[in-house]
Amino acid sequence: MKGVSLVLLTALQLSAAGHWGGELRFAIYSDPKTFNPLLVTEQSAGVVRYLTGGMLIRWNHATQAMDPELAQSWRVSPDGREIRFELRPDARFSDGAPVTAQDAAFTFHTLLDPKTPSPDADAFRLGGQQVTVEAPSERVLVLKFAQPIAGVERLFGFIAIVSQRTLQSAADPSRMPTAGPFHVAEYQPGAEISLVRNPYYWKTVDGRRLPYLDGIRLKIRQDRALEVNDLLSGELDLIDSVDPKAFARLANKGSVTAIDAGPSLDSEQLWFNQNPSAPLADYRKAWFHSPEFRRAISLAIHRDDLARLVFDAHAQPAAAIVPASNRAWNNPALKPPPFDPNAAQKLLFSAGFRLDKGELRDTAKHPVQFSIITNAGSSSRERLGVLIQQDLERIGIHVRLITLDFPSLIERITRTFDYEACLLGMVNDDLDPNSQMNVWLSSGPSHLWYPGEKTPATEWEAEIDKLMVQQSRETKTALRKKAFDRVQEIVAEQVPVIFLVGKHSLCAYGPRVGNASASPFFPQTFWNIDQLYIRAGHP
Amino acid sequence: MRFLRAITGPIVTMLIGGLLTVWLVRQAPGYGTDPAELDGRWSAESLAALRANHQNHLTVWRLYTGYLKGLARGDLGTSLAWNRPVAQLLGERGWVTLRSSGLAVFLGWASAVVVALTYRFRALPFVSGVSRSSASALLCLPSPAVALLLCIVLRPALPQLIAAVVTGLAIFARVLLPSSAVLSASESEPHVLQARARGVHSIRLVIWHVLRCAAPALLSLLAASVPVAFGIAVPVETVCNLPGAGQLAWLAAEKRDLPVLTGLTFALMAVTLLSTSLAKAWSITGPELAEGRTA
Amino acid sequence: MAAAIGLSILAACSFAAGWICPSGYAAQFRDAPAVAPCARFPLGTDELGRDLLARTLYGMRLSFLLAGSAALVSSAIAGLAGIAAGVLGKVFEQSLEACSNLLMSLPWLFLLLLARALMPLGMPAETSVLVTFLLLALLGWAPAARVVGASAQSLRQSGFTLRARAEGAGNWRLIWHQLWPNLRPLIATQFLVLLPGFILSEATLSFLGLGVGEPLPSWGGLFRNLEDYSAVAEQPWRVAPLVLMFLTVACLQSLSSEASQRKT
Repeated sequence: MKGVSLVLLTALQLSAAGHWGGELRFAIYSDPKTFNPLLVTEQSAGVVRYLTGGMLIRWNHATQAMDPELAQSWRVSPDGREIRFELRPDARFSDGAPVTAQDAAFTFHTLLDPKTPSPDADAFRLGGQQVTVEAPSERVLVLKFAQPIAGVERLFGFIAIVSQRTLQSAADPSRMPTAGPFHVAEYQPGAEISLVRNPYYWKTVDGRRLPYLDGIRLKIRQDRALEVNDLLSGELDLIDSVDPKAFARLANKGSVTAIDAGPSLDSEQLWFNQNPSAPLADYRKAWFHSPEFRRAISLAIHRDDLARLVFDAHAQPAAAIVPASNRAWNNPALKPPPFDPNAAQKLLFSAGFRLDKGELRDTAKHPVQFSIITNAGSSSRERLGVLIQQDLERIGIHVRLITLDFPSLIERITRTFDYEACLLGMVNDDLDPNSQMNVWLSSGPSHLWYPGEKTPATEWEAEIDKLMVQQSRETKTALRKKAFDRVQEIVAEQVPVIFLVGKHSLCAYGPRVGNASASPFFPQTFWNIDQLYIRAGHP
Repeated sequence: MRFLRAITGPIVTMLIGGLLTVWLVRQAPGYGTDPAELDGRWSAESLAALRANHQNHLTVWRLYTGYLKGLARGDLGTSLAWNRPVAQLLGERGWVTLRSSGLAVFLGWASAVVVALTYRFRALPFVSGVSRSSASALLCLPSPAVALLLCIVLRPALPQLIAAVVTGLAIFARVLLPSSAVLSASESEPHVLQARARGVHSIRLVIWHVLRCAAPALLSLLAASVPVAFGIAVPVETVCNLPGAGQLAWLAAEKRDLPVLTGLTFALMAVTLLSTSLAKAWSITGPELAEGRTA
Repeated sequence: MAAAIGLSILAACSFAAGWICPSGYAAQFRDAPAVAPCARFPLGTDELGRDLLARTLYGMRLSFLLAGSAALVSSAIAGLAGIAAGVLGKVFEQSLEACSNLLMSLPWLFLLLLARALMPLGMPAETSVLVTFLLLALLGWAPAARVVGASAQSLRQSGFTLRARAEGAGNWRLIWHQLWPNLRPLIATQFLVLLPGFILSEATLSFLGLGVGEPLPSWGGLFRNLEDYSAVAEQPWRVAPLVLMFLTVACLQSLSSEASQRKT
């Protein structure tokens, strides 16, 4: 059976009633650093949280809207400074204890405690605001913000409600009561995590409590070389993100379903170091500060070849910050820069560069050469770098591609700033622009090309700062969109970050899995975990 | 007194080794970084707190003396990456590696010595050719690729068995040629030539004369194979997804997990020192015992 | 004889890579990615359309020069240290033992990372990989030195050595006339073990950014692609560098074995 290509599944959410029982098996790629859902900072812990955590409301991948979960209803006040939840009366933890507003309040008090190091907490404290948490009754929870946070509802989709008992047992995850569809039954470090169904899970179908599955076995696989083989042999039931080269092989096998769910939120980009304190020669800093230089580099890169050769066409040239799959925030007016080396050279000549025997030189006759650092061990990123090397060689620029191990790379781009250009990917779980505040704000610590600016270094960065703060507090979606569209336009004009390609979400299911509904967003294959089932006849 | 002198050397070596490990890891680029820092949601204050947790401000000496104080109390520290006691991690994973690679090292070494002996003293050129070619082929094959192939072909064999097979083959390849050279050198000793000329039976010649001469070098080969086997275990366990000490070492190095790396170094040094001491002791006492028996 | 001819052909091919493959190792034929062997590309192309024959031949040159030199240096150090430990007395022997224990147990990977961090980003790729191999050579001699040392000690007690001493031979004469000829085959085998080991190490080190930088080809880099076993099953010609490395090591081994037989 050929691989199924889908842009987005919308209508097939709850298909025919599933088959009860069975165990689903798939891989995670490291031991979770923690089982405390309030301290999640990496993907494996995030997977466990997704499967076991009960959220007040959760984002539906199919409709791209928030669905009620432990909260049966919620309301945001017109001024955006208050959100009120009404909890279900029948929501219970896996040990049978009811989920109350007091538990929810405890969760947020713990999360928002300055001693709790959590990026999820920082999202609630945009602009350094204080948050007040109240539980006026057993089933009502109220959060009040000093300033409105636009799109605040979606933040609750990442916060698993815990009780004191949950956190006290975090060191022994098998004793942690959870309010989601599953809870941890056994953890074998380095080997696997077994989850079993929460017998008190709130969601039902035909009067019977979901999930359909009896359990999930998460196999800890540091190395992914055998994952495809294990899917084909039936040892695994799904792969959440398939390598593009492996996708072609899977698509030709009749026994599995390989799905290209369309553009994901992940992209690859290149940026130049514009930090004035970087230990670089002044003339190089001058190159990287020049918007004409950056635009020329962008025009000289053949994005179609990057998508075709590195990702087997399971990627597309990237236009801007937000890909087309993010329907709510994409700016459709922005198109990917064309591949035009002639235009690139004209731009460079207009900025004072000249070709000398095929080698580009600046006004002081320095040959234009620079290094691009990227992380070692990622063959796709290394191939991207090699293609970019060749593209820039055509316009007389000599590029050295340097692969570094990840900690060394992080040190250079966040501490020492001893680098010239960096090729890295951006991975997003969240569609809302607020999740990227610290990237686009000039004072943000993740402001890639010059983190932590004391004051905006350029006028356009000052404009982006104003627009990002404005949209973060704006309660009207249309006005937010307008502000963020303008941010995207400025980034496309000034090119502080050269967006290369947006990757597609590739995943695969084995024949046992029923009700599969792939999404372009994490988690692609098991976002509807409480509705997945093992087909009859496949024990 | 002799005993004290005998153990002082290894203890000093281990202490120096520990200090060098801490220095290497502390000075290496990327120490104290965390991939979580690249999450765009962190505020500047939270990021600063995250970085402070990684003890970047402590000097090498303070880190090392702190570690030794903990060691004296039986506390090997807590892993920065796994948030678990290092002693627990080493215990679980060390045992996995010992089970998969321990016997394999000995069998790989022993089979190489036996094969070398066989074709040297039975003058079997075919065996010599095949075994040398096999050793060359095995030396040229990347161990992780061999492990990967075996994982596919021998499914659903236990990854421990696969790791053991790969380690054993790799040690065989690394020991065959040197042991053949060592035996060749022993073979040309004057007393061996004389014994051969006097018609001493070849098995007796091999066991009582050739092997006795070659024992120190052959046992050194065995002792030197222990850290080599650990080096092979690192990529092989990673590829086979076997949660052993080799995989732990690779991940700890990636994450700059100083407590784990220091603990692993001490453990590896202890095993290496033990194996070299045993090899040395046997190479001295073995021939002496043999002398006693023949006298 | 056959081994010598084989080695000469391999060496000639690697040095004549420029004539055999005039397009070079870096040219990307983007209209022909991952093609099978054909008249235009005798070994096919990689995913970026680069001629695999060119990359194999240039890679052979780089890998053998670097790994060969590193193995030579490492074997030489092992030989010298081992012989010295065997001859110069207990203090030297114990120092060697301690040194080799440290070298075999410590995570020297971090020294390689530190060296990479200290090198400026502008340093040419050839230079940075030269430094990596030099460090490998300086760190890789310990296991071999232990074996050589143990053999040297045995030889020191052997009849012909004792006789030479009785006749008034000093340490240098003993080393040159008695020990070196007997230890040379052992040191040669260490070279034959280290050579493929260093080539393969480069593949592992490239996961940490310590390998040969693109677009320079190396056998270690080509071997990394072999871990995608499904691609290898579909494109078996990708094992060509592995076959060539095996042939080279086998030829060297054969030459070494012939040389030691001629000596006896």
